[in-house]
Amino acid sequence: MKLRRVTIKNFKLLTDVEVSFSTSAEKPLTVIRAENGSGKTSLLYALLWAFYGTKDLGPSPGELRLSSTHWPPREPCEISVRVEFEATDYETYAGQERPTTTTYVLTRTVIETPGDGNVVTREREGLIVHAQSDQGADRLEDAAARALIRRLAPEEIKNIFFTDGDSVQRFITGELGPKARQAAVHEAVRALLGLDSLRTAVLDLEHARATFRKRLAAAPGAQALEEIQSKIDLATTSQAALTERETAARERHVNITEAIDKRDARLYELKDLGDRDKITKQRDVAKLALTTAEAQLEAQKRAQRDLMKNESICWTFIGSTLERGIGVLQGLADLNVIPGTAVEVLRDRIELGQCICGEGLEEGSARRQAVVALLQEQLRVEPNRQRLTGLLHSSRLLHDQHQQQELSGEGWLARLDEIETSRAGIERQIRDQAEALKECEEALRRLADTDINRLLDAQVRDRAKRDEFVTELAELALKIAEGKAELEQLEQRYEVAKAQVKVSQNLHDRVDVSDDLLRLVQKTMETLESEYLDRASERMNDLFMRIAGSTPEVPTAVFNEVRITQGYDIEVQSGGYGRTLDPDFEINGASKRALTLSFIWALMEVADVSAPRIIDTPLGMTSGGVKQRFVDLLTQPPSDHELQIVLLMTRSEVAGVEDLIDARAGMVETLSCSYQFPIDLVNDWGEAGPAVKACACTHRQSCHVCARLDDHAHKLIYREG
Amino acid sequence: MLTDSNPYASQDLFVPRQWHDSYQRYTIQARAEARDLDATPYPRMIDMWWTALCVGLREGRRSPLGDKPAKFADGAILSSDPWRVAHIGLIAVAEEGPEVLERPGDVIRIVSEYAATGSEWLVQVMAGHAKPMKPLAAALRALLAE
Repeated sequence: MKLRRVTIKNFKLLTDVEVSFSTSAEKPLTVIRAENGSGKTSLLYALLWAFYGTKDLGPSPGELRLSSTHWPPREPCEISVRVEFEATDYETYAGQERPTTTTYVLTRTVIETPGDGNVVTREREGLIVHAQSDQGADRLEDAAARALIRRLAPEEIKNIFFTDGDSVQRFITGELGPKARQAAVHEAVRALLGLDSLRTAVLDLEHARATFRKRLAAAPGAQALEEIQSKIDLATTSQAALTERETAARERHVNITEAIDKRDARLYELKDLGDRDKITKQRDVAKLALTTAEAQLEAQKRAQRDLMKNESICWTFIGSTLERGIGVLQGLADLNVIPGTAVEVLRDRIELGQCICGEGLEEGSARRQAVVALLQEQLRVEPNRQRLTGLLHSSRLLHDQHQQQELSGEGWLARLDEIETSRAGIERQIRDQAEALKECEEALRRLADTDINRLLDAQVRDRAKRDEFVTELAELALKIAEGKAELEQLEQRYEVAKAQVKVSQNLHDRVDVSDDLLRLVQKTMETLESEYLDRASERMNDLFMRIAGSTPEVPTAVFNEVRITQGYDIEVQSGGYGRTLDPDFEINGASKRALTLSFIWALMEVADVSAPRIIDTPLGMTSGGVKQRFVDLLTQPPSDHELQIVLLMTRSEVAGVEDLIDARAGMVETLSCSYQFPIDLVNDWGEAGPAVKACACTHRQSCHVCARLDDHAHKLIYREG
Repeated sequence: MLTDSNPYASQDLFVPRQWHDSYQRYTIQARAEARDLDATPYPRMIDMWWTALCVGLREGRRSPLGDKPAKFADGAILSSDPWRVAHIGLIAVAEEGPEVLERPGDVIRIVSEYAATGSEWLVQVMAGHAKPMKPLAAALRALLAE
């Protein structure tokens, strides 16, 4: 099946959009360029809805909204998606296989009415499929239309055909665990190889064969046949029971292996934590270092507090004022005002009765009275003089000490620098030691919380159980093989006995045909499950190694081989020692995408499935050579089967693979959304509400509709639309 | 030789009433969290007052003590650090001349008014910090650099 064109009306913001797809065998790629929020995912959903309806499209049909959130409440919205596609059937005429290609037009419609808030009501959906021929268009009956879709695009594999990059990454990897991964891989294999249909066919054929064989056994003279048939029935029932037991044992084996692996991981983690005694010692060292550092910090804090109150802060902040005061006192000293000596001199002169000038100071004389008055005045100011003198002396001493401190680098600022530097170092030590202490205590707590012996006991017990399961599986496999051999012998005996039974040729023929058909389908199933799986595995390995650019011969290569095991697991081998990587945790995002896409591509090729592969944002997390190889391999036109690939890409995804798109893309279009004006879009389209528009711009062009502000970064050529 | 007498012993030391609570907060280790020395940068109120005096003088501005200023210590406390007696004298002499030493009350008034200016500055610097030692040191550094 190949898509030709899709016309979408009122689906989300795709109010009126038509997109065409390349159907060229030489250029199988269609690129739809669209930035985030420009309708890529809506386009993908519109296609899914057209083919499969609302089932699995959203959280639940009741919560699903197909119309735009901007559609007015209580106004019916007519939504339709029209898909034109072609399918090629091969018919044999006169011994030659001839392809016949038919074009179909599928239209799904619905009327949705938004209510208040998030409520929407939807009427019954309509699905019409027309087959177009030279004579015109014939509408297919509803059942025929559904059958056609089931045949061309089976619902079980819709998530493989229509997907997005992130889902691709999670499909077989992404913290799934081996059991879930195996289930996903098995499911994909079954879906793509059609194993479920074959299994149904086997059951139908077994039933038909049993009916015919019963009729044969009921014929006269068929006692021996009847006896053999009952043995076959018994052996078949026994085989079925053995197979069932084998399935159950295999599941138990997988479960117990997972439990062992998990416990191993836990034990490894505990081992990584280290030895309890060693950690205890480390904790004690950290605790002591922490206590010491805390005491040092306390001392520094105290020193800093002392610094805030000691004398040096005064000299640093108000030294000039203090020095001015000293200057005033020094001035008094220079004028001999201090220290005061006049009192002693005046007392001496009065006692001698002679003035300094030589005049007599007789009792009662005016001169003597004047000198006595002078003495009394001097006696009054003397205490202040003494204070000033004392202050001058003490201040000089303090000033000298301060200068001494400054000279020896012990001034207030120097000391503050010293304390703060020391504090910073100690505080860093405290943080480090506290962290170390916390880590040690956490490790000790985790060790204490875990009963390692209990884990080890359980591990021993489960390993023994797993060995038992392995033995049981081997025994069952042997019994199944013996049963199979017995059945083959019985079948041979049955054939001999059957030839001797006299019944109509018609019944003989029916029994023979049912036997042959059953064998054919069983053989086909075996082939598909083993041979095709091997082929898919080889092809996956080939694709993946080429995308990853890995060379298995190089011992240091990251990837040596990837393969699908018979147990439906994906195994990734790395390095020169044959070690296995866990796809969930040990490979990067780009490699996960490459691995999953390689797996799907390989399965599709081997199963010869020709449905279109539509991938939204396929190249996230890839760049450089990996990105180039990714696009190169996925879009290579195959020689032996049909391919149609649609990549929904952003401008950044396109960057670096433009030449490949030139070479491989038969169609490139662009989607843009009006609400991105003026933040990202250059032009206003004059739309009333937000809407997505398609334009014919290729990955190298821009136009009035799709021009974006950052287009210069992508060197686009402007196209007149 | 330091003066061994304290002429200000009989004077009371005051701060403007609005800063008194902050003086208690940054000097008294009453609360559990204040056990950390960084929470109380000063052991005693006189120590904080002394830094306030230095800051006020540095700023060159005296502020009135306002109505009902709060007494936080006797002048006798200055005797515990005799250099403070000398510094107070020098400040007063530098401000108003040698005669001021004859009036101890005036000397204390002068330094108290400078300390009032510095008190406001200190409280603003330390307000909002549970451990104001580091911001205080940083602010003093910045003041010196001005």
